[in-house]
Amino acid sequence: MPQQVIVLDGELTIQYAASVKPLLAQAFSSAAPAAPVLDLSGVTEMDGAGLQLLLAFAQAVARAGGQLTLQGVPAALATVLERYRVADQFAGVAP
Amino acid sequence: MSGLDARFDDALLLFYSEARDLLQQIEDALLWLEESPGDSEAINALFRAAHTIKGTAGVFNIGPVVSFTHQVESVLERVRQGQVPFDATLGALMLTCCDQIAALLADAEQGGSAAPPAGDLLARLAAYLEQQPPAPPAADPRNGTWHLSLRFRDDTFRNGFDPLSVIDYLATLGRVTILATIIERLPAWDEFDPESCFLGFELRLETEAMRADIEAAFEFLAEDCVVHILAPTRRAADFIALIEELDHEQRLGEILVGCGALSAEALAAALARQQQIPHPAPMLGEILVDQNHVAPEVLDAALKRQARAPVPQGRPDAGLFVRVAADKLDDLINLVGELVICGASATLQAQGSRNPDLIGTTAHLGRLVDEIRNGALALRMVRIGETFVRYRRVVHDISTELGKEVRLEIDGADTELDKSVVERIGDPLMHLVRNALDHGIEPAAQREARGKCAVGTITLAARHDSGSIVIEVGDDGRGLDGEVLLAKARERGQVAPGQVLSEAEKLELIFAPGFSTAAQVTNLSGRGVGMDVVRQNIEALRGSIKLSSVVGLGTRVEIRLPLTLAIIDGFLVKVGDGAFVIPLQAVTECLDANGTRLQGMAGAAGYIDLRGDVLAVLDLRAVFDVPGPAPSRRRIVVVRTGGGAMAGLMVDELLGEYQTVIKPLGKLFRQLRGISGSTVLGSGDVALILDVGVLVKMSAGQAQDGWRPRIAGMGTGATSQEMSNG
Repeated sequence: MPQQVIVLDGELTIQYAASVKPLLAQAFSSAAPAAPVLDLSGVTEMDGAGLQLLLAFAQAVARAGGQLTLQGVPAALATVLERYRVADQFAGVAP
Repeated sequence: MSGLDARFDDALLLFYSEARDLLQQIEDALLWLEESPGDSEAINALFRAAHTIKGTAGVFNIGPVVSFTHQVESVLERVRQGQVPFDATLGALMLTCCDQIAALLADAEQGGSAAPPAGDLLARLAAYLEQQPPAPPAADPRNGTWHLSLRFRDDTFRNGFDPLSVIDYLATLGRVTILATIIERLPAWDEFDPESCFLGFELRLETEAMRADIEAAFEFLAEDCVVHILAPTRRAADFIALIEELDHEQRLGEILVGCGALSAEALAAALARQQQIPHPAPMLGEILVDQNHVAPEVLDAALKRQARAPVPQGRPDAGLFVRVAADKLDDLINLVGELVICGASATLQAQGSRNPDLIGTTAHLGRLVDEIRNGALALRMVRIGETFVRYRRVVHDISTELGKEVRLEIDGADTELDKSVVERIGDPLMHLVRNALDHGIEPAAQREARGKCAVGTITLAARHDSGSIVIEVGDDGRGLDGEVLLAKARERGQVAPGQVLSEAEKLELIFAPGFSTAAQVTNLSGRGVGMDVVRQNIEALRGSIKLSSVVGLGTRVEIRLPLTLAIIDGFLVKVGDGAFVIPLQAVTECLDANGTRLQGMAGAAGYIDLRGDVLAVLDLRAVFDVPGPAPSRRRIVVVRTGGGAMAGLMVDELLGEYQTVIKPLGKLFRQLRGISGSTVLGSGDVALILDVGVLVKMSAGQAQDGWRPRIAGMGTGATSQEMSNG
């Protein structure tokens, strides 16, 4: 199964949340694989809205039977995911 | 005595009075320190007070006080420097030393030698002086651990807030540990609006901050976030309540167990119990108490600090008050009383003269006199807090003696009342507090077994309520069981076997003479001489006392007293040529006493039918032996005592409401039953103030304990008749 990698760039914040959602929605097109990968190496900032978006996406992928993998997670982001105890929602986030 | 000696004596008297105040401050600080041992403010206050006593005693050359207090001061100095820790042992020693200083002062003042030898105390104090300073203790953060449950609402982002920033802000108050991020509210992807917020968080906050500071963090969020703050002494019940409120979240219970806030067994047990209990409020004893032991005592201290006044620091308001000798104040009040009476006379005469200028001037004079009277009476008002505070020591000592853990809570310490009332309320209050300690509060083990907090609480509260002062003595102990009281009363023959009593009436049984349900008579109470005497004392102050109680939860005694004993709001009546004043608060209604309604008049007593109820009636003409024929048209004033007993007093004429200054009866008239004081009317005539309680008893003719009322005679030719229970 081809790995689809969605690359996110810039700020993952309330300002851009609405426009990021359709990007993520690609993962649910009929041709999409069950294990989407989200590349976050270009993400400079994340706020509550951004975190929520990631969580919603992970939940949606899980409901569709797959699992969301994060790659290139910036250290600061990884810390937040750890701190908020949501790292287990994603694959690829090393503890 | 030379002028210099006289001034010296005055100064000495002042010293003794101030020294007593300082000792009270020391005692307060010591009791405070028992619960908050680290409080440096309190330790400083202790040191300052001891230092002042020593220094001033030195000025007056009171050797024993100086040398003993010097030792105490030295130890306190070391405590202040951190060289000696202030622990419970030292606290207890200091309390004993406080008593010793008081005894030494009393000796000096009264010229005796009653103070016990201080050798043992001095030795114990010396031990502290020889101690090496201990190694500095490891940093003790002394934090409270709070549990916060946050649920952000849909518009959070839209209103400009970021949950992560809010939590970062909380982190400035202390250490935040996120226990869980709650995403249950997240809708399905298609309906998910990324600009709405569906997040929730369970977190733990370790902080020294107060609840108010934590709440302040959410001040602006108000509508956008549902916040539950669970204090460090939280119980399983609090979490259960939280779970119920957020009941659409199935996982919350698991989350809380998972993060260790709650043990799985506690959760299961409490939930099971919860099912059996009908909503709303379950009984205290039925929810499992699960205490999280992360420094709850620190939180307790912090919460108490919010509620209690801080340790007094010297006398910040020293410049605002003037010390006045009590007898000078009494003289002033007396004079003002005379002024009121004389002014009333002047007004009356002015009205008779029909001179408009004179009437106007005397009216003005009357208003000024009223203001002076109010002002003078206000001088006699003292804060009840000063009385309440003395009970801290009592509760402390007695609870230690009984082996129970009890704390005293004081509410409304600023409530003011007349100093004459304050002086006479001490004994009844002491009795009630001792009852609560002895019979009310259960031993710690029993309390815990019932799911109560191990430490019992006794509350002393005071407040004003429409011209009266209300004092409450409450406890959260075992409460009074009406059935037990009833059984005891039946045993003693005070209640007939078939008689049915309401709950309130059962509680009233406790006021019967000689009543006690205590299984053993202890040193403190149980002899059964208490509650009836308490009620008598209260009613002698023209007050009333009422008891309410819930078995297992506690008891509350409510005492109502007039704000001042010096003035009476009265109802003036005429009997023959004499005028009498009935306390207005006792008067419920006035009736016509036409012959047909009056039944069974035997001498002074009879009955009337008052809307279907039987009301005993007392003819005051007969009671006070008023000569001459009675007028054809008479009136009955229906009165009610504090305890609820009622009677009708038959008089000749009603003269209306009358407020006046009371003058005590001279020794000659103390024998009169049914009279509690006198006053002088504007006309110059003397009016006697009726003692409603005694008169009501007379009318009922109760034969309790063989007591048979006799009618009082006034002047010569007194008749006495026996009345039997109709």
